[in-house]
Amino acid sequence: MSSQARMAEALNATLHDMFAAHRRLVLLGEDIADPSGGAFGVTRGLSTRYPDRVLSTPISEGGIVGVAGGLALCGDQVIVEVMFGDFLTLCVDPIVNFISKSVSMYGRRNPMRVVVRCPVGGNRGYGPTHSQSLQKHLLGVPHLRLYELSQLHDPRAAYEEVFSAGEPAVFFEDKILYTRPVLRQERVDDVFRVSPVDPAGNWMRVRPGGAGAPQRLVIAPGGLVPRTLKAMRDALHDKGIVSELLVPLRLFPLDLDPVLPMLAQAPEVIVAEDSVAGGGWGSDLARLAYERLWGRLRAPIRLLQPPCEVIPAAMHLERALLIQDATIYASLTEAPSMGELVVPTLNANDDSYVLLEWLVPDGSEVSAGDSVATIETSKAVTDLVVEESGRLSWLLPPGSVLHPGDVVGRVTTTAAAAVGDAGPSPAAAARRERPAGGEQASPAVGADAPGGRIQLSAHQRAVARAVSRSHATIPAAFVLVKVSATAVRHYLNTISESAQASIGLPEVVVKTVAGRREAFPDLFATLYEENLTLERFDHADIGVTVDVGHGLYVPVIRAAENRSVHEIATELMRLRVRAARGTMLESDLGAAALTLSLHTDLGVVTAQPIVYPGQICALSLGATQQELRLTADQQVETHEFFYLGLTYDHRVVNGRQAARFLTVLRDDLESVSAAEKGSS
Amino acid sequence: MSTVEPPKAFEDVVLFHLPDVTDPGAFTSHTPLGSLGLDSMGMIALMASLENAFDFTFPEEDVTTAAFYSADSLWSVVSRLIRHDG
Repeated sequence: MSSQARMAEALNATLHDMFAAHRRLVLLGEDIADPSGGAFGVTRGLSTRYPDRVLSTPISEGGIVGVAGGLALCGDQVIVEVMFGDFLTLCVDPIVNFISKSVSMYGRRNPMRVVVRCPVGGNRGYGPTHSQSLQKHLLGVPHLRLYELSQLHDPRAAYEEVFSAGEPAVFFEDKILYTRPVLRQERVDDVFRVSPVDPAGNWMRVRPGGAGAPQRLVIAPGGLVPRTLKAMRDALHDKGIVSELLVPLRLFPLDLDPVLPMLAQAPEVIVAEDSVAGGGWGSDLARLAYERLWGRLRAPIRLLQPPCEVIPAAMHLERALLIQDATIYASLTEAPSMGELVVPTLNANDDSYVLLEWLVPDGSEVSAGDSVATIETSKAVTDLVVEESGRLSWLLPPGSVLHPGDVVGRVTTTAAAAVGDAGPSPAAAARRERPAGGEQASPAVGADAPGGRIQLSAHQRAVARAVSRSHATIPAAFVLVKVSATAVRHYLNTISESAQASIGLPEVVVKTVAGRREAFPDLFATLYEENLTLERFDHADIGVTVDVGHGLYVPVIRAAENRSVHEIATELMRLRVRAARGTMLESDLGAAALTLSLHTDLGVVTAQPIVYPGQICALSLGATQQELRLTADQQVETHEFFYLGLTYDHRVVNGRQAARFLTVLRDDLESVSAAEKGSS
Repeated sequence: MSTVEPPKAFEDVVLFHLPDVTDPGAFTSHTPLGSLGLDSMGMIALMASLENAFDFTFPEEDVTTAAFYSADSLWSVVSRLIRHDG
């Protein structure tokens, strides 16, 4: 087929091929016989060559389609030409109540090989009753397939699909297309290239050759191809906007699977159709896309449809009502750029967070860099910052549970906002109005809930989830050793005096534990539950529990093996201040190789910590205690000691290994000396 | 050190957070606070008490292990901050 061939000629050739191939194929319609060969000349030559199978009929669309149904029941293949698609309404009873139902209502599969062809669409000045696109009225009829003629597709594929499936179909043909060229070669023109998306070639894709990822993805039936390609070409030429077009041959049943990845990746998806607004093919497509791609679509799908009005007879009014290339061009070029506010992965331990509050009202103007919401993880509160200026829309209310990758809001770039130096945005103002030092971290108990109950704070609910998950998923065991504090006490006094700094037991324990990572690499690791594999840490990143009365935090001392005890003490002090002030950052938290749980309140003997999901073990440090003991020469002396405990994932660590780790740590702590560790 | 002598109120606040001081008379301003039972949690509590008592805010960079080494080192930081804030 030459690229110069017109669609009417191509359709005519297809029908000739079909008649040659199918001996029981019959064609019925008004004025289809030669010399006219149909209102648009598509059936030219057929009645001359196949006079017994190509029959011109009286003007009765309902009657013609009824006959077609009878022939199909007898095993014939029938093509009906309805001169104008507007008169499909007269055929709805035989199509819906007779032909489509007959496929299955007799208790067995009954092939009904009927294709009703009909020219549709406006922009020809044919007025209200000869210009409509009534596709939407036949959507969702059991066993009834809908196809639309396209320059990009071989129409014979539709006929062969229908006849082999034994299900009836309506084939919509935008009458504008009859004089348009076939576009089935790879090079559409100097700009666009066409290629099939799926092996069957139901979806065809048109995009500029050599261009990168598209900024807009247009999905449209075949009738809109000429207008869409013109709009895409102009948008590329005028504004450098790269767009792609996806066109299905079959409108119903709609198979979105082959194109879902493209929808998910496109910054914006536009669906266009010629049926007037109010239900329709585009709405159904959008619904399916939302169901399949919720949370992955990067912007709301935009529907382009004419308004729900009668098509005017006056041509200038008709053009104003229907979709033109300028309509599509406008949506390609002036479409608001929607910036997504996406929940980042904030730490390794939580798979969900809580949207604590919006800092700016829904619909307000924001500037790039503004903090617009706070998100609470099990360990910290963090700000969500917008990357572009515009109008912010909330997509989720405060209190929503979030997962990494969720879209919580959108920023629509508007002309005003893009210019926008008119003053500080509400977000910036809101930020300044927050108390110095930031919001206080939530206490464990929050607002009163209905019914006299107390609602746990969002922070505590997040902690609750981590604790519950640990208990539910990690078979943990616990082992405890008693450690003499004599050497550590001496060591602390020495290095504190030498550094003129207040250094405590937790930092010495952190340093000691870090020093044993290489000897016990499987205890400093992440466990992947799904296949029980371990990923060892390259450094001793040690989480330390901090609870100064505003909720539990587990900040991380990174690469503790490379830091002096004094440096660890300084870092822990900084983190405790942040916990007290509620200014803990996600960067302070992050993934830890293991956790040291501090229980050093006076009189606390020990505590059994949980293993944080993903980690292998958690150490607990109790308070220093005193006891009387006998010396070697039978004298009574006061002796200081503390307990060091280890909770461990029994799937990974055996009791013997756990005990060995603890006793090695004990020996290290009981023999610690300033000469060995250094203090600066 | 150019600081003025700490007021009685300062010493009272500090002593309150030292569990191991049984005889306040024996407390000296240069004794390491760690040896008197002040641990890391105690430091944060002491920080908050001092902020309340003297109506100022510790910047994060001033809450250091060196500042909390002794009553002397602590007062040198607190007095500077009070002058700035006041």
